[in-house]
Amino acid sequence: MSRIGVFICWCGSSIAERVNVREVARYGATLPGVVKAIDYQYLCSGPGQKLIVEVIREHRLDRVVVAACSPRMHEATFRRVAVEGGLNPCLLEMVNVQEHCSWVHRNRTEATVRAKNSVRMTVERVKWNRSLNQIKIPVTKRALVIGAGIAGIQASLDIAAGGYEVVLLEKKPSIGGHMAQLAEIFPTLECSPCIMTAHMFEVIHNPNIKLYSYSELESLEGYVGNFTAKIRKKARSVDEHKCTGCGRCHQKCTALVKSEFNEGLTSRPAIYIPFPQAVPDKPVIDREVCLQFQKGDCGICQEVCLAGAIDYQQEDEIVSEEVGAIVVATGYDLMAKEMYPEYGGEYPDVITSLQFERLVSASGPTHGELRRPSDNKVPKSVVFIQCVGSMDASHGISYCSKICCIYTAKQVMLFRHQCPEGQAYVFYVDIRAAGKSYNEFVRRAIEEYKAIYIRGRVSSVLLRDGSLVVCGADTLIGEQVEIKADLVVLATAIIATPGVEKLARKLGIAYDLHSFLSEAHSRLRPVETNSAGIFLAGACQAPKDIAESVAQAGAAASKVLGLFGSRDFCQEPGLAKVNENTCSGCFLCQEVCSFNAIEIKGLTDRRGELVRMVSSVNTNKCRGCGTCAAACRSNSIELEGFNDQQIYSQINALGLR
Amino acid sequence: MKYELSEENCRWQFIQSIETLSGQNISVCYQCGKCSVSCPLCKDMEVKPNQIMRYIQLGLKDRALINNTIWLCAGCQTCSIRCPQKLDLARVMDSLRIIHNQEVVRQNLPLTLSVKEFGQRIYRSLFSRLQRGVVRMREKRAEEREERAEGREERADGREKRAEEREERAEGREKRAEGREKRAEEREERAEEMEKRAEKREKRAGKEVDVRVAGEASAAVEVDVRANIKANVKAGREAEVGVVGNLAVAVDAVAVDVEEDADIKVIEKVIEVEE
Repeated sequence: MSRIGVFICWCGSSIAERVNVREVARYGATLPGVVKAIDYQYLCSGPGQKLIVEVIREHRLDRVVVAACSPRMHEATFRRVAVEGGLNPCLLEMVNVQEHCSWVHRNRTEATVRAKNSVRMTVERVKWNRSLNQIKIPVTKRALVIGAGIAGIQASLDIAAGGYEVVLLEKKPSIGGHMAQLAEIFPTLECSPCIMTAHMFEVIHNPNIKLYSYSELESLEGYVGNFTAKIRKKARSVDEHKCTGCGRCHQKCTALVKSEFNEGLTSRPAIYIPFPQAVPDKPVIDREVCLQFQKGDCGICQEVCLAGAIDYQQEDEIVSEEVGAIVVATGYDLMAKEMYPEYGGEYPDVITSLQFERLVSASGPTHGELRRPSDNKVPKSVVFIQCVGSMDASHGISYCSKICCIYTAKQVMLFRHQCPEGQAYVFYVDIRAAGKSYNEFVRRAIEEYKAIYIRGRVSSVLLRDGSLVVCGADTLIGEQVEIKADLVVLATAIIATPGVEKLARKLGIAYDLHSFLSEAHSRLRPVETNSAGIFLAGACQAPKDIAESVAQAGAAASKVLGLFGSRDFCQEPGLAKVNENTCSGCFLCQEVCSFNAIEIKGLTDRRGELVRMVSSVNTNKCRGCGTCAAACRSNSIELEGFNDQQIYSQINALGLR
Repeated sequence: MKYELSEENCRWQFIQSIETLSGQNISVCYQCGKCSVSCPLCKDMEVKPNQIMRYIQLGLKDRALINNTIWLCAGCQTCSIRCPQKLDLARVMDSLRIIHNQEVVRQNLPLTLSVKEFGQRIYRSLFSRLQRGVVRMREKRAEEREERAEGREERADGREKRAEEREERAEGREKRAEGREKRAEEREERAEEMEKRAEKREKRAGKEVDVRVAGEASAAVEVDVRANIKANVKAGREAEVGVVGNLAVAVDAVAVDVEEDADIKVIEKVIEVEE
């Protein structure tokens, strides 16, 4: 007969206000096998943990049931307590009487009955629990960082500073991301490229960082500590080792296309360096535009290249890298202004906020002078429209893009610096400037830079008598407002990078409704994903400003360093286990396993002759999902810690009243 | 209604003159509306004080100037004290009034006429409002008076009730006092009875004392011991016998149980006679 201890937590009043914990404790004590049942106000607190340890020792308990919050919250805590009391951690089970009872029931009696049932079921279940030991996994101490914007670069630099090698992957020809495009950054109006280019050069000069630019992740195999990443190095058509970066090729190129770096405000040739400070400073041929590739009759770049670096025959190369941890920092994108036809996206003087950044940036098309795209005039009256797309469920975006309020205030200032006699108008729905000294920053735009903030959405942007007219609502005085504008800047919503879902599927990590990558726990594990060894940094998780992205990148780097610093990575037990005596060797389990954890094993007799083939689980790869156990025809696979006996006894206990 | 904003509007001049006259930065107002909820005259104003601030911010000069608000403002400064942005609204209202009068001059309206006109307009609006106010005030006062009268009656009723309650309580007290006296008498009677019984008991004491003398002793000794014990029992309840004649007689314990209406018995008697 087992000696079970039942502990019921009040969780302050969170559980106790709906569940009669005293009654549950009294009931728990009457269950067969239960030696002691106790209720306590905060079991997770120091004294609460001490109480559990004392009771385990005093009553020589061999199983423990803790009825408290979700096991995701505190199972690790209580299992550690069980170890302290001298038990195997797997001999402790948790009952979630918070989310399953107190939070979902209004009626105290019902919640109490529910809690009693849950406790009874788990007491029956825990009798079948067996001691399981943690599984040690060796770790390859190299990290892969996907995306080289500010978050990716920061994470790489931090990991490299810890003394470990980093493989940094960037989809575009140059690293730097969106931050390299910005003119000045809030709230100090520092020069963004000055900060960014310094970081970018640090990346190429750091011996611990191996940079793959113009490359994408082809596939990922393996598991925490032992990933194999296949990287597709897209063909640059330029030999990086031969190229000197002289720039003759892109001066001569005649095929032009809109520049991505300048957000379509200027054009770039087919062979191009995205921007003068690009890293690496080697050009790349855009094969979809290049006349040589499209029509086969150009080849001018090859002719002018003195180093003979142009190589039209270059092909995509697949490189394999062994890494132990991955940081995903794929960043964000802006919603296209064409999504709002009523805002006049077709007019050249209606631009997005990133285009505005390029217009006021010293490296931009106008060399830092603010001139409107249509006629190169200096705009005197600029209307900024916030929340274009954000908080607009009709366009599928219910969230706040978080940074628009502050960068719009910054852009007001930049505009007034350029044009001191100009007037800025800002349409807003809500000012959300909650960061450190952000509210003061926005107030400064209003009070010092005299921007007129109008609360309300804009209905339309029209072209009337050759000038733009913004028609909006002023809900503060309940009237319509019309403003003549020389330039309209749309703070379009921040969206996830297109195609990030595909990457997420390759990595085996989750993403939310808006394709932002999901963290494991919004408060307690904000940089981890649900896949061990894969971490998040920056705006790929949710809209973030630079400060937050850098902070999260540092956090992700510290998680990676923590993983590398430990001698062996320990994985929680609770994996699939094959009963070789009954396994029929159909290998259906191998087909259904999403982690490639099932291997084929040959069984030999005493003479060493092969008798038959059975499945075997690679404990390093297995994540304990249980799919194989469900699929197994001969019922030969059981999930440790979730075996049939445990589940059936739990169900049977529900029937007993 | 709809307003338009463009460079042609002479809003800057207007905002600047207000800011110079009042010494306030108008753009710090963030339209929380605390001035309007604090204003004692707000309910009679055509435009609320916060709306006036909004009009100035937008440079809507006509709307800011043509209304009764700036004339109704009594300058009590409640708004100025309560403004979270430390704006002195009362001074802004002052400057609006000044600008209004300047405009009258600037537009070259016949001053007397315009003053008269404004005076009349203000008088009309103010007076009618005041009149209405006075009537309302009177009605209110009358209501209040009635309420107060009702209150007085209620209070008088309350007083009577309380007096009755007091009387009842006094009666109760007297009754309780009588009860106490009676109980005291009874107690005395009982005490007397007890005394009588005690006397009776004493009388009965010593009637029958049955003593056996352990060991070998002469009848004379027995008689002596008996007499001694009798005497002792009469006096107290326990007796110890010392030397009787030439024999030392020790009584270890003589427990006497005295019961009401019962004869005295010596229930435990161990007398050792030593020679």
